This record gives sequence, structure tokens and C-alpha cells, in this order.
Amino acid sequence: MVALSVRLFGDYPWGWRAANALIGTALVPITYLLVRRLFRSRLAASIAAVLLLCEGMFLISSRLAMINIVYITTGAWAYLVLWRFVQDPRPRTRRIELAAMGLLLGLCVSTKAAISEVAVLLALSVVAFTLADPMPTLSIPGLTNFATKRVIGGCGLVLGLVLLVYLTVFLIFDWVVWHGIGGFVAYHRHVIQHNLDFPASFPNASPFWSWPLLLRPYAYWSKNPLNGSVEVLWCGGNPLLWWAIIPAILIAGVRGYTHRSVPWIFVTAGYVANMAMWIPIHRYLFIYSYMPALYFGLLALCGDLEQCWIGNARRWEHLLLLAPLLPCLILGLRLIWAALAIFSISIAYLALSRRLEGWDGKFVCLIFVFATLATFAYFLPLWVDIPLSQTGYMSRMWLNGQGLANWL
Amino acid sequence: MSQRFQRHWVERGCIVAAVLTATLVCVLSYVLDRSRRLELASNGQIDLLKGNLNDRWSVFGALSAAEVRIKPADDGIVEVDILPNTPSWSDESSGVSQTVGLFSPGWYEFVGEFQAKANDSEGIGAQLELHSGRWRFIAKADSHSTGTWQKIDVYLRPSDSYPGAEVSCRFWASNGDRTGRALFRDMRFVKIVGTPPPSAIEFDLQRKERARLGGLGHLHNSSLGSAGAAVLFLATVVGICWSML
Repeated sequence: MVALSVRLFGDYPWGWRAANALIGTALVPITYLLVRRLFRSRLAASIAAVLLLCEGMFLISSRLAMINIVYITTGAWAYLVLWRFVQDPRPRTRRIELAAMGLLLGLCVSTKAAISEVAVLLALSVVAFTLADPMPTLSIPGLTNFATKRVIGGCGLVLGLVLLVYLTVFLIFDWVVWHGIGGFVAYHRHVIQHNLDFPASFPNASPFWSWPLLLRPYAYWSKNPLNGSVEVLWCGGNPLLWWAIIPAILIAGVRGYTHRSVPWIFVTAGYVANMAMWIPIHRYLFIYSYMPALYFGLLALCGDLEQCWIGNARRWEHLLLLAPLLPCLILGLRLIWAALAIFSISIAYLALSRRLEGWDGKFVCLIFVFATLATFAYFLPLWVDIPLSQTGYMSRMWLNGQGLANWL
Repeated sequence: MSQRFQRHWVERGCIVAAVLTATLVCVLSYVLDRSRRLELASNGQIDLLKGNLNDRWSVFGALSAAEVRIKPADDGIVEVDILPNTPSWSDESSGVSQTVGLFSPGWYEFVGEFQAKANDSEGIGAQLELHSGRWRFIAKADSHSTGTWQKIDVYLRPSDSYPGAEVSCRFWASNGDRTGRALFRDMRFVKIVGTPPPSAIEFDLQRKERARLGGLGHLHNSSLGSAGAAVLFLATVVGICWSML
């Protein structure tokens, strides 16, 4: 796609980046449609679109000619088709949906094989579960018919297409470099061994458990012109969203368990699986590998906020979702202003919860979306390379310690 | 009814916010990218010593912008001074640099004149470096002929993977409290038509990279048989699974 973009727009930075910009932009409507299907709510979908636009890691990935946004977008598109399949009762169209999902997952795996297997496994689990039980619930009798012909057929179709697309995408390598399937296998063994030989530490690398806390973002590129300004392309996210995803996933997990709700279980499982895959990996890692888990976290967060708005969220959920505002206010404002803001928010919340029924949840939703937009505007210069003064730059580097927690 | 109205209102608000955010990002991206795009002048050259030098030149290493002064002097000479009271700048490799994009494929001539304060006994010196990807060309200031200009004239064809170059002046000193000074004159990249003259110093980075990556010369030895069989096998599996549904 980058080659096509270069052919269309020329061999210039704009031409290199145009394909990713289009793919990253496509992620917003795809997410809107996915969330609308997942939670059957246009409100949740609208919130998801806003949160995604305000998440800097997705923004910067869409502005650079790197592969990360491509596998995220193709993965999200595959999940959209997956949920269309889950909610579609017609067997004929279901088959087409499975085939489309297989093709999309194949493109996803072809872009970044090492991470995208989780997306395939997740999709296969949902397909198997859906085909085993026509009415997707967590009931035990549904599980007894698990190994049916349809399950094997559905999963085989998806897996077969994933492998077929992967092989086809790399056919030119088979032809020119690998000289057939033996070379293909040898290359992959070499890549695995090469990755196993990588050291555990590297400048700007960070352990996977530190990613949700946004401890070690770093500059993809930086420049210190002699005019005293700082220009940077920051591989980091919107701190409010990152820190809110931790309680959002917790809430989603509880909702999935208590309501036996497949969409909530899906987003929780997606997040957990994309984090758990890093446990056995000991080579150095960078924070952008958190993006697939982050995506599921955002899905959970928009679902939680929608539940707040419609009055289905409980008090502890409100408080958990408001909690990430505390560090953002303390680190972003001076202490006196932070204290004032925290006091005002607390008073407003308490007043609404006592006087106007249901408005406390709406308040949580509104204040969170507003704070997200404000944080996004504040950090935007770091993602789109707007020159900042040295003071302005340092004031945005909320964590700058000697150890792992360092944003510089 | 009221609940539905509120939901509708928030949905619309979120969509408006999303559209505004997307517009803001697009406009900012376009404006910022345009202001940073370095185009070849009509005469096919990029002059490194023209325009706002403070915007174009950057510091690297331990130096901060406040510790460096760059200013045009007489006769097109540009003077770079490392100011005193900066005990940190010599602790690590530090200096000033400018990056240019050489996007139009082909050969470029880099010309420039350079002189720097250098004294071996005092342990101070500087060197001019030209980088492009992993390749670098270095011209070290001669401590025995301080005050004379060193002329650099090299030709390079950038590689496909790195169509750009960085010109940097690196300063060093054995003691941190030393100052540094370099002068530049007539420093530019010129896009040339055809190939460099026979006696010129030339670096064909494109050819080196292509040689390293390998060409299509061994295509005739290739075999698609096993890969084709694998594709056929998978296509059969897909067909069987399709019929099972």
C-alpha cells in the first residue's frame, strides 16, 4: 500500500505517509461501527470515535510510515465483521462474513505476525462459541455441542484463509528470496531465533507491565533548533485515557462476569490476551506494542462511559472512572489549581448524586470526555511536531525520573 | 422522551467533537508539514547558510540552544560559537547540525568551506561531518593551519532507503570550560545532471545498498513449486471448510 501511495503521490515523505494516514483515518469509522454493533449503542460508538481521535498513540502511528496502525486497523475491521457474523442469523451471509474476516485477519497477520496471532485466536474463539451455540450465551448446555461440524468448518475457513493470505502476500519473497516453502520455513525459524537472541534491555525499551501506567514513552524523533524551541514526535499516549483504561477493563470484566455478557467478556479478554502474550517474551520491548491492548481498553472505556450516561453504572464505577483525573490534574496543573479542580468536581458530583437522580453518571461521562479533549489539546504539539518552548516541553513531561518512569 | 433527547444531544456533540478534532489534526499536519518541507531551489541547490539559521540549525549532544550562537558574518561567512560558562558541553559528543531531504533521485554535490578553532595541546577541536544513513564523511579541522579554509567537495547519490543527508559540526575539548568556534562558508547541496566528473570524490550509496540487498539476477533459479503447492493445499482446505458450513 505504501508502494501504491508512493506511485500515486511521489517518492516524498508525503507519499510515504499518505497510505498510513488513510488507514489510520479509516480506523475511526470502523471503531464507530464496531462499538455500535458491540454495545448496540450509537452513544457508545460516538464516544469511542472521540476517544480514539484523542489518543495520541493512534494519531502518531497514522502520521508515520510505520506498520503499527495497519495491523490495528485491519484487526479492528476483522472484529467488526466478526460481530456482524455473531449478530447475523442468516447462514448464507454468515459464510461470506467468515471469509471476509479470514481475509482481513490474514492481512493483519501479514503486517505484524508476532502480535496479530492474538487477534486470530480471539476471533476463532468467538466463532467457535457462536457456531456451537446459536444463541450466544455462557450457558453450559451450549458448550456441550462444541465440536460440531460447523465449528470445524467455520474455524477451518478462517484459519485457512489467514494462512492463504499470509502465504500469498509473501509469494514474491517465496519467488525471489526464499526459493519455495523450505526457505519460507527457514526464514521464520531464523526470525524467531533472532528475536530470542535479543537482549532484555535497550534504550527506551520498557517491560510490558509498565505500559498501562505510561511509564516509558519516548521520542521517535526530536530536534533542538538554535531558536530555543523543542520539536518532538512523541511515542506516547493521552495519559488520561491510558490511566482510565485500567479501571475501565476492571469494570468491563465485572460486567462481563455478572451479566454473562459476551461483548463485555470480549473486550476484557481482548485486553488481557494482548497483555498476557508478552509474559513469556524476554527480549526488549517498546511501548507501542501496547496498541492492540490499548484499543480493547478504549472499547471498554467507551462502553463504561455510555453505561454511566444511561444510569446503569454504580457509584464505585463512577469513582473508578473519575480516579485517573486526579494524577492528571495534579501533574498537569499547579497544586493549588489541581486542589481547586478536584474540590469542584467532588462537590458537583456529590450535589448531582443527591439532588438529581441519574445526573451523577451523566456528569462523570461529560467531565471525562471534556477532560480527554483538554488533555489531547495539551499534548497535541508532541504528536504533530508543533514547536514548543523548553518550558512548555518540560511542563508536559510529567514523569522525568532517573528510572523507568521517564517521559523524556 | 427526555432521556432519548439527552442521548441524541450527546451523540451529536460527540460527532461534532470528533469532526472538529479530525479537522484540527488535518489542518495542523498540513500547515506544519508544509512549513518544514525543504524544496530544491529553482537552480537545483539547497543552501545551508541561507534563511533563518536559528530555525534551520539544531544542537545535539549535551549542548542546549542557549549555549550556542550562530550568526552570519561578512562575505557570506556563518560563525558558530560555543559560549563559555558551559562546563557540560564537552562531556559527550556535541555540536550543531542541519538535516536536508534529497528526495529528487540522482547525484548531489556537497560543497562547503570550513574552519574551526583547534589546538591539540589544549585538547580542543572540531570536525565537519556529512551523514547519509549509515554512511559518513568526516573532515577534521587541522590544528596546524588554524585560520585557513578547508574546502570540502564530495558527490553522493543517496540510497533509496535514506534520501537525505545531515551536515553536522562536532566540537570537543579535554576540559569542559573551553569554548568552541567554527566558521562555514558557501555550504550547499547542488543537484547535478548525470554523473560526477571522473576525478571527483564520489559515494554511490544507492548502488551500495542495492548490492547489499541483492537484485533479481537469481530469479531464474527460483522455484515456486512448493509455495504453489502450499497455496493449493490451503485453498482446498478453505473450500472444504466452506462446504461444511
